[in-house]
Amino acid sequence: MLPSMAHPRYASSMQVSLALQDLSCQRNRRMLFRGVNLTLQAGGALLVAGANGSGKSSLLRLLAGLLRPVGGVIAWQDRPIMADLNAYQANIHWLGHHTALKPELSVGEMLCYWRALLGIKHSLPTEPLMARLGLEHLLTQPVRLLSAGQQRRLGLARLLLERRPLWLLDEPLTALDSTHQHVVGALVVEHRAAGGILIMASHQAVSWPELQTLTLGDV
Amino acid sequence: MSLWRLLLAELRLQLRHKQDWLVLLLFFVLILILVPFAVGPEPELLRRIAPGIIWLAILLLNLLGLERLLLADAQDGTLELMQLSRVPLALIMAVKLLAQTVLLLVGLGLLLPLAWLLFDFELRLLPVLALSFVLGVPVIQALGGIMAALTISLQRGLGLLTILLVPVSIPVVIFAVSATEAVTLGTSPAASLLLLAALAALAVPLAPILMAAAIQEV
Repeated sequence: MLPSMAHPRYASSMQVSLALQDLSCQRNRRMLFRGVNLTLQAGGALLVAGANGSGKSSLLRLLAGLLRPVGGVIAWQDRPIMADLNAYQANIHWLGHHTALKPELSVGEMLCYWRALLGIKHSLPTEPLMARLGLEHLLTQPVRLLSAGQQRRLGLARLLLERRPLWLLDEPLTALDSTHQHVVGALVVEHRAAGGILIMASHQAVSWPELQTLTLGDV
Repeated sequence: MSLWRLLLAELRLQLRHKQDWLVLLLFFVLILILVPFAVGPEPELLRRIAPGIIWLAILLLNLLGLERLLLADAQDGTLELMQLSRVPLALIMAVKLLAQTVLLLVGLGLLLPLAWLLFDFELRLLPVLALSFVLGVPVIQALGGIMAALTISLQRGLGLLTILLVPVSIPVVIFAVSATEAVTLGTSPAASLLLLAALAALAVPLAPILMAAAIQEV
């Protein structure tokens, strides 16, 4: 247990919640899914499953406000996210299909870049969070020399720079060895214990407690 | 404060692309060196066409550099983070444009003496030429930024980018070159420079907003 992980609860007095009402998504004139209804309360977690191309990533992009749904509403704290998209997006940590790494920078510089880009003013200290992901000895290493698993872990390190209540992760366990899959599992447990919500698209079956599953393609 | 950090981070990132900007600088120098071979070594002629050739080289340089302005960010997923950042997307775009413009202007500043050596134009042209860079380069960067934002969804938009960018860049070249022309003829370059400044005043504040709007529709 590291000091930086001893979370106070998110948004102390407020309970976060995310609701999807009759959500439909269309890409390239193809209906990916329609009529998705779902509610997640503080501490909730959702695994989005489904075959390749069934719309897992598109659902995450909808939830991040990066795509517009063709029908339905996404509500955060009972307010449609479109009412104030920028304020809603400040609650999100996003780990997309691409990890947003810059091969030219060193690992430490990458973290600085993200802090500046995401507008993080009071970042949690670098050392403990990097130690958590087993990257503390790589701070001066260029990103381009990292292995695929190390790159994915660096992407995950971004989630720890600042506490944000909604994690949207697209295949976070890809390329990770079993040790680090457990580390991610532990991070998720802490995130949920602090009142955060997790939504994750994954092919891999995970045995995390109280995980809702949404299988796309048969909704 | 956080924008300042972002600018420094962006400058560091762009400077790390050593191969990219070295190739661009070399490209610029090559155009300047090749022109005398192409049009013949008459000093009088070269002196007269020098500002036009330099501006032509800037336009081409700009075109080559702009493809990278957003493409790498779109491909590695950084663009998604930019959209999700609590820093407004338009401000991030403004910072990116500023970083690239500053680097291009510094590069041109370093190469201007070389151009002077190669073309032997009158020394009194130098300040006007430099001023036309400072006013004109932000405009073509701003225009190019809008085009880059419009074409990133196509993944490889350089062809389309070129077609879109060249016609709208023409006014910049006209006013920039007519400013130096005025100095050569012994009249005041103020009118052309003011028109250039007017273009900058219009394009520079609008570009980041339009870029953000274009990206958010992707």
